[in-house]
Amino acid sequence: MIARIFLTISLGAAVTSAKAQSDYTITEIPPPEGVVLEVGGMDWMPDGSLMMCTRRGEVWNYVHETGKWTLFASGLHEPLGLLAGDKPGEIYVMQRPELSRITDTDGDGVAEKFELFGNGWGYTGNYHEYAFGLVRDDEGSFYGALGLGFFPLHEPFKPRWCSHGNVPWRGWLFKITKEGEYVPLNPGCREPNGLGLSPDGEIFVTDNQGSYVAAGVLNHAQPGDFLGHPDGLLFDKRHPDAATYDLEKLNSLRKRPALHLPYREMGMSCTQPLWDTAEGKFGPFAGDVLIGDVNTPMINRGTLEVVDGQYQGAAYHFINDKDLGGGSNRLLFDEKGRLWVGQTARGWASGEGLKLIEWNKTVAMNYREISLTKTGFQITWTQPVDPTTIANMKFSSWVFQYTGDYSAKREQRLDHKILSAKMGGDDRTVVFEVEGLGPDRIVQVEDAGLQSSAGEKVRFGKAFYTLNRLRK
Amino acid sequence: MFRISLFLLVASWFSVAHSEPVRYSFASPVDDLHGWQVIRGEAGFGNGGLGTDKIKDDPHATLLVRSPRFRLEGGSSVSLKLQSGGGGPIPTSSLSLPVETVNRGPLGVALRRVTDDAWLIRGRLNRNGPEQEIVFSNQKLKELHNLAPDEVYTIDFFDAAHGGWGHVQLKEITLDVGWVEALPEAPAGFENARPLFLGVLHGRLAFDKKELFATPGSKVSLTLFNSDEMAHNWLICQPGPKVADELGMYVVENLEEMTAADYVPDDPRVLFHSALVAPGNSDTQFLTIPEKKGEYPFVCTFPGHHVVMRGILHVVDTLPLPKDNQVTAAEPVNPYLIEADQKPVILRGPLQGGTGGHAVVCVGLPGGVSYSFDTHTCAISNVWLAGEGGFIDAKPAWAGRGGKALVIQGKLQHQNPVERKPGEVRFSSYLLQEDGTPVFEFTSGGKTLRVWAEVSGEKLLIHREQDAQEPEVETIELSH
Repeated sequence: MIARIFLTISLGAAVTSAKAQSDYTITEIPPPEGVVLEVGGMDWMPDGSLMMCTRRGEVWNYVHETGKWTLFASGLHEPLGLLAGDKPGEIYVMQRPELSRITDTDGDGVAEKFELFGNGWGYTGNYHEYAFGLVRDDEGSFYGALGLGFFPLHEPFKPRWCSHGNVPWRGWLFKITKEGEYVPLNPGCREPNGLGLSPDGEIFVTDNQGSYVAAGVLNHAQPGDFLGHPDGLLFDKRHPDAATYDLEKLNSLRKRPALHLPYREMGMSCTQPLWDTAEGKFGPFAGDVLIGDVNTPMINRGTLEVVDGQYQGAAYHFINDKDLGGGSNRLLFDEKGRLWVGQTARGWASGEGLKLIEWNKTVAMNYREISLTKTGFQITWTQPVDPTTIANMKFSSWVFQYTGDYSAKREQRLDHKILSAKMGGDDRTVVFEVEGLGPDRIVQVEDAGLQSSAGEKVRFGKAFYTLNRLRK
Repeated sequence: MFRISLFLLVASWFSVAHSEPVRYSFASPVDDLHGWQVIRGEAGFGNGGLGTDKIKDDPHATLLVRSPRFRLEGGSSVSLKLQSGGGGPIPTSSLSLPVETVNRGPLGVALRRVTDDAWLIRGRLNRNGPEQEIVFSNQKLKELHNLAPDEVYTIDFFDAAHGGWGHVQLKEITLDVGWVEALPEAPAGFENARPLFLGVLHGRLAFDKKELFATPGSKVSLTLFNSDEMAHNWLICQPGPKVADELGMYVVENLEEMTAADYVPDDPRVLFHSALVAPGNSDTQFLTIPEKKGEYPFVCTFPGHHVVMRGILHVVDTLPLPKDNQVTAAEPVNPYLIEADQKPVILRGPLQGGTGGHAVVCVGLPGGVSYSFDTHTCAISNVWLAGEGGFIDAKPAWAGRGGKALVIQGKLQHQNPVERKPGEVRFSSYLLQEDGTPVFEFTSGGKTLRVWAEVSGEKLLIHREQDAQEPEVETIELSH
């Protein structure tokens, strides 16, 4: 009988095909009974406990050593970012209409004081007008980003490419200074569910595939950069005529994403970027950026490099494991180099709660890094490669259409012939001379039988290099 | 009196360990009952889910479809999706369903206790039309589990109605329960035996039932689940006030002999008995109930247990129906209703159902008095009395993709749609008091203002304080 019934697995095909992987162990941390733990943000408190906010407006404190859960606060407005404050018992939470400071004033472990710390953006009650966060820089400023509304049937404002409403500062990345002042920084976001601060202190923001966003992307946001979706330009004083801009003009203005996560191959709704700062305790990818996904049991990985003054790099599969489930929304490392994953997939897929990922101290055969050279790519693997198999690679590429339509086409496809493949420097690195590379392309790097010297196949054979600029 | 001990089947199948929630989809692919059994009528899939294909106004045979058997566990849950008609009131037992449909007859689902056919939790649509989710109260399921952890249940789905909207479809149902495998195969003549289940109340030397019922000469199976930490059995004895005591005492006084006989005295007053069931095991016997009506004691004769561990098998012409006050007629349709039970509950979001707003703090007090503070106008924007089940419906905010408005539930008492000029007021904070109610603070023209509300008898007092001067008080009369 059991065999004939359906289990409650309703994710896409990507989920059911994902198998458990042996290099990382995923553990589910059960939430308190009856609690729907849709994690919107999380951070470590000074006492080492984990504080997390949920989309139903609760803030939970969790002590892993004792398994104790305490409800710190409740009643918040769909908070999607949380940071520990400047003193014990204080947190900052990004609610939809404001950044709040929430404080346990009497030290009983439960918050009493809920203060508006900073706001300044419009919010109409539309479900798609999310406020995402939250990171903080060395100066104490908070960074967040504002999703566009979704008004498919009654567009209140209609330049031809604006179908998402005309509400102040939607589509902007902003900061709130430690004095609480709202400072808009970057137009061009669509649904930017993920802020990241690189180890060098630079601000990155992910965005979700849709109009003007060809795939899941990681954007490097320097103040003033236009990140691609035109809605936000309506509030940009530098562009009073933005509503008259055509696609060509917009395309010339926009900054290219540092990474693309092609839709489906690398998830469907990317979330928070987090740099692996575990210095090897979390496996061989120290220094890389990890990015969660809502719809698939994936956490992807990226390596970035500066080419011609701008970040670009490669995106790789990292975790694609049914045990992870969907909804990996927020990521956080602990001191032991374990990755904590706060999940919510509400309405887009299934998956919620808290999971813990630990490295098993085994290293699967994978790409370590794909780096652009003047004539092709230099690729390093996690294990020594069998020199007799190094020519067994494929390179192809396409240009992502820049369009207001919901799904961008992959155009001008090319296959790139390998002109030469030579071992470079050490036993894990191969230098490929590749024909016909050009700017503004996504290069698909695919293994075609390359093996480690121990005969192990490449675990995740496909990777995608965002080639915005050629090396000069 | 002769002794009937038809079959002895000891098994350790007990129950399948709890695994994952199981979702039965009856919407797609169609024509698959997934192991559910049609007890009455004709099942069809022609209208987007399990139901009857006869959805015209004509009467037809009542449909009753039954899930596989299961037990409730501590965290068990039942949720399902129905569409079409809401139907009339649901009876307390499947035994009360009419054979033919009636106009405005019952349509829906119920949690059935197998042994007495009681429909303990009953669910139906609260309006005709599109699909609605129905969730059985987790609290109620937990109570049932605590009451009798070995109890065996099914889900019944039924359509006993015709006429306008006199049909219903079960689209899917998710059961997070502990599955019970099939009973041992019935011997010839017992294929349609009515299944009865006895369980044990952990550590309390008691069966989970004091009474069983059967009709004269009927065929039944009696299964003992033993989730206790010691062995138990049951003997069904001839009627008589002292029979159970005497058989029990015989065991205690003749331990050596009785241990070898698994504590079953060779005595004509023992009509039926189970095997000795070890902890974690079960035993099923197939019985032909005596023709003579009466009260037949059942008792555990493990040494010493007979003193308290016993009950009565009533042999009666008509099986009793559960009374309405014995079953819990729960029809929880919306699991997103928020109730302030013990202490004040705060919820923030866009608000609908009164004076609206996008960034509103709603406060529900125990007792039902509720109000909202709009962080844009910095005013108490609504006062209301909570409705059945809660003061706010959070379903639009939390279900599906969510993100939509909280909806006021209950009876509006007061609305306050304030117009403000840009920058006229600025919300600052709220501070929760000892009793959990908030004091809101905002600024206006360089002044600091505070607002809070307080219930006083049949009134809500709204206090407004400016720069720590004596507060003004506005009184809102509450009419229940």
